[in-house]
Amino acid sequence: MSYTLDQKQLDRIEDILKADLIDNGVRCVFLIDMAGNIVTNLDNGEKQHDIYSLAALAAGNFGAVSAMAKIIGENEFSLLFHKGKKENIHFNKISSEFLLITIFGNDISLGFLRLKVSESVDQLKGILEPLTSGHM
Amino acid sequence: MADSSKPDPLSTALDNRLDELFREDDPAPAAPAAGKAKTSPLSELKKIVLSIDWEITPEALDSFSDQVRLLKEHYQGDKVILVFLQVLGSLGQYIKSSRSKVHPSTFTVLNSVFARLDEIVSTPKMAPAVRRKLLQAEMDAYQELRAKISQRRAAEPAAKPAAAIDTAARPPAPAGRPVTPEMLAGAVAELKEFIRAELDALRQLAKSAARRD
Amino acid sequence: MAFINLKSKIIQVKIVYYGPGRGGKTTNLEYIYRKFHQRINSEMVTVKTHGDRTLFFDFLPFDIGVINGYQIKIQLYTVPGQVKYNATRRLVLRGVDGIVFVADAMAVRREKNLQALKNLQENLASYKKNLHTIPWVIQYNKMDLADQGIPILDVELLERDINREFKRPAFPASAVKGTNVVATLKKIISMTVASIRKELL
Repeated sequence: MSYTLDQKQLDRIEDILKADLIDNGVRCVFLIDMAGNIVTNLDNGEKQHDIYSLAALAAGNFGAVSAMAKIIGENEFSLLFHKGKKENIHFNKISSEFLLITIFGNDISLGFLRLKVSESVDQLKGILEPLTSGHM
Repeated sequence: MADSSKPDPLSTALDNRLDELFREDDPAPAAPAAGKAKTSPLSELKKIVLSIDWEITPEALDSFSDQVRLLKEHYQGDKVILVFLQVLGSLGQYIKSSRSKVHPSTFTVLNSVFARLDEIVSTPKMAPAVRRKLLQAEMDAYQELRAKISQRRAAEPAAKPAAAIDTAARPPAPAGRPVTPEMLAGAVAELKEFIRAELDALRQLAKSAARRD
Repeated sequence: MAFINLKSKIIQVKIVYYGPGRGGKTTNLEYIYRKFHQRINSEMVTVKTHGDRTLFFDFLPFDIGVINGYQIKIQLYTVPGQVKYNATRRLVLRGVDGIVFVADAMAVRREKNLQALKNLQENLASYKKNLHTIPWVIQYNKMDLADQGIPILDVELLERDINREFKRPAFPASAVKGTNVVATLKKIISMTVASIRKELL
């Protein structure tokens, strides 16, 4: 299965992520596909992570957790979030193909983050869903 | 060197078992979990504050305002607590009216104000001076938040695109109606008025609380 | 490492199937599951991409039964073979007791086998383990392709490439047909359990 994004689509995606998330204090956000490939990533310039490994592990983690959900009779979980002492990670499925991963500190409440992520996802769906609608 | 074919009872037993298994029958198993609770006049409000921390829903915000209202009646005689509740009430109102445009620091302030209130309520013997000091600290934080909110409004040039509106290419699904500068200015004015009124009320209460002691 | 519960007398052993992408690791487990799941009575968990490549791991646990008073439980895992999933591979290797190196006998994959072997050594080293001491066996998979006229490497060459230094048991196989899949599995289980015998006695 393959998909292509042109520069304009990528720019729009980045604008949305920057306005909704980075500008609101999120440290790092990346949009990946379920195979662990990075579509785009943004950060606030503070810390550099090994985003390639993060992406592969995030996809694997999400995949593993989805498998767990099915075992317990759930279609999927509505919240996948890991809390650290200083940094936290939140996962949000955009469509059957794409995931939005955000890394944020304790200055942002989870509730607020979820609100902003949900807004971003609504906008991103419009760009991403048509790309893969022929493939499922 | 490879060595696993020693003719000892264990290896033989294992090999026989493996031969058997991969010709005929056998079964398999799994694992466990835990929980806890407590009460105070603020426990219902605490639950709501915690749930807002996880997820901001209209229902949670309504419950929040209701609880604050109830607690205000309960603590009518206590000026300091009343001020705390007023602040919480206005924060709740602000979150509700701003929706996703809410300033991110609002929740830090909300949690801090609640935590101080909780401290005061669970320490009935606290000295009045200490209570006032805690209140002042939270009022300062509240003022700071208000300043940040005004700053942010001032920094916004034209309407922030609430929906991904782009005149170029094909229109994507519009998330909501476009925010016009007039609407924004109206909302800002309303908010300023609201906060001003709340602060006046709080100042009155703080003054009378100071006079009492 | 093997988890030994001295109280309930259960030993859990972790065996990982490792090798280049598309080499047949998952196919090995799928064959075992398909043929024997009713007997071994377990479910296989797979975390795959839409393109059917292993994304995180495949997992197949089963019970061998009681040997010498100990109940032995085997956990089979595969790793994702694609190069970009190295962090995941390292994760799955954690606590490994025995390894099946599934090499791809296709001539065009020769280099990939070598890279995967090197990668395995590096990842093992991060846990202070190495191929000279850990129980492992080799499978030269896709031997059946010779019948279809696809160029495959012969066993001697594969042995020189992969096994020269280690001299481990090696099995020419066809995971898709099931040839030597069970033999490989039985061998690695024997070797792994034998290596933890000291704890048993």
